[in-house]
Amino acid sequence: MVQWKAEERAAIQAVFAKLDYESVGRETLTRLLVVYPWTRRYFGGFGNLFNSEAIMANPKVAAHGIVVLQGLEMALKNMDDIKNTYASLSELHSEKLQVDPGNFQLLGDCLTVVIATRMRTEFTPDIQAAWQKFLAVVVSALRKQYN
Amino acid sequence: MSLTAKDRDVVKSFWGKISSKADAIGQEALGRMLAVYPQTKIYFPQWSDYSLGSAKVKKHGKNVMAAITDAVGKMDDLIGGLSSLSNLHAKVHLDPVNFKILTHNILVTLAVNFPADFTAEVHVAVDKFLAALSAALADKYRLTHHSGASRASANRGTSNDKAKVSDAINKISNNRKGFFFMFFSRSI
Repeated sequence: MVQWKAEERAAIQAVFAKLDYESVGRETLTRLLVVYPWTRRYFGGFGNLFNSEAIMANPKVAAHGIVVLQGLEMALKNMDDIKNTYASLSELHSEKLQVDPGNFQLLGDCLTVVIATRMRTEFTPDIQAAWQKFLAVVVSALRKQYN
Repeated sequence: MSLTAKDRDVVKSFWGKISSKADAIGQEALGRMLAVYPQTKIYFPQWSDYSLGSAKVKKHGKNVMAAITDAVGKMDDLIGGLSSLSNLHAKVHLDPVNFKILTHNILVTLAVNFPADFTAEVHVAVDKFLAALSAALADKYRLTHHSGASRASANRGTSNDKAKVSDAINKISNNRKGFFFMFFSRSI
């Protein structure tokens, strides 16, 4: 089981407290689709994803950005058992969506960059460390059902 | 993934905006890396203080960022331009996985300090540039696996590799008539 120090829990809560799901969700997904364009293959039904302006304006991208952050909130609320909390999400991503699990890391990186633009100097190295540990646990849980 | 003319323009233009803060960015990126990925401390065993504000982190961060800024001017030939730095990193056995790790922390630092300028388009161009730079830094790795090879003769190692690869392909295709088996070797 993952051990969380009190400071780490506090840091992760602090990041979430500032998270505007709509704005951060949309920008995170936009960056993923722009910076790592092969990820567009997983969003075939989203319509126009041909350039960054189109992606940023795409309402399905905006809606899905919120879905992703709500999924992360589930992990936040169950920090001591993320693995089981994510069992069905893991199956969804592996069996149904067939997402290459390397892309979970990339989405996490994009989210971290967007959070950095919002929190700026408040996103200290220690808070970044705790946040990335949280993301690593989430990514690991998402990968669980791939075997 | 090669850098387009547009990528180079975007990187140069963005670098112009950040150049006055280059030292601080280098320091912060290195400090973040050491805090978030503590295994990277192994490359700096003599340091006593790995915190963002320490003198060593400040100095080395400045050096790293200066080299990257220099590379912005060498985007037409990163492999040539970074040849001696590549030898240096190979000599200290710097695991190339760390290039990605430092890249990520540079991106986070740029996001913190230039949130409005570090748009998605700038993000992808800078990420591509740093990936190309990392590949150039790793270019002189794995050159001394031939018997009698030295780092001085390193550049002659690649034609040796090509000869061995085509030798192997010839042996395989001779043994299996009608079955052509190809494999690709990458530079690292």
